[in-house]
Amino acid sequence: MIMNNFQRLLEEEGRRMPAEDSEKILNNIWGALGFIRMMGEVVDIYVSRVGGVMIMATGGDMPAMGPDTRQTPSRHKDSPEFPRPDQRSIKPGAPDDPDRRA
Amino acid sequence: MLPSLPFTQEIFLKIFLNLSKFGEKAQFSTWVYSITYNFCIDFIRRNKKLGELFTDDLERAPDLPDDVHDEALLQMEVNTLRQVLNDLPIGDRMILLMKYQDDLPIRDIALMLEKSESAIKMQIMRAKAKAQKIREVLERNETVKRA
Repeated sequence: MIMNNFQRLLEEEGRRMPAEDSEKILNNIWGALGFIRMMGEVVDIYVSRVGGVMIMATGGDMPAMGPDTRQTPSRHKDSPEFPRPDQRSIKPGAPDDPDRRA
Repeated sequence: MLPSLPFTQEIFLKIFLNLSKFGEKAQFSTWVYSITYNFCIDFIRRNKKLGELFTDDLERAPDLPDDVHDEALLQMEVNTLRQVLNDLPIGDRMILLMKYQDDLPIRDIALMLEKSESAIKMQIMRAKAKAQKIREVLERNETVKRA
């Protein structure tokens, strides 16, 4: 690609920038994103319960919390059960049967 | 020159936190560019280093040539160009960098700076004229030094 003098100037200035700087930027960005994520999780977990805590603090009963519906896909009631390797039922004489080879 | 290291982080986070405001009226890159531009301009304004942002009306600069061809800019040596850009008002510098360094179309620049396309064309013309004038001054000074 043919570069004009403006683009050559940019490239020259990019070359002057030490490589550690870009690594530092990347690390700092990941750090900041991690912090935002953590704050989001804190808000997600605690803020939804603040109302109940306030009611309790004023002497009321804790409102009944619904069951935790958050489930990982593998623990969801509709997800199929996969047998573990040690639970597999191997039919006698099947190619997988270790006794067959013996 | 502006400190690029903390700026990159702050701009990236600003983009991330404002993603929901991206309206798809423009390309994503244009949107990112406008956030970056506004961030830099705000920083300069806050630090009162702004001086003049753009070369204003031609009335204020009557000795500027009518029209400067792109070749006059594009044939400058890189070092001369660096000096010329450093001496330009920051707005003029940015608009020239958008046009010639980033190859942005006039339409995108207009969208970013929230101005009409004809206003942008006029600003580019003025910025080029000013750059050409600075270059002539630099060359004259160089000749005097040599003599």
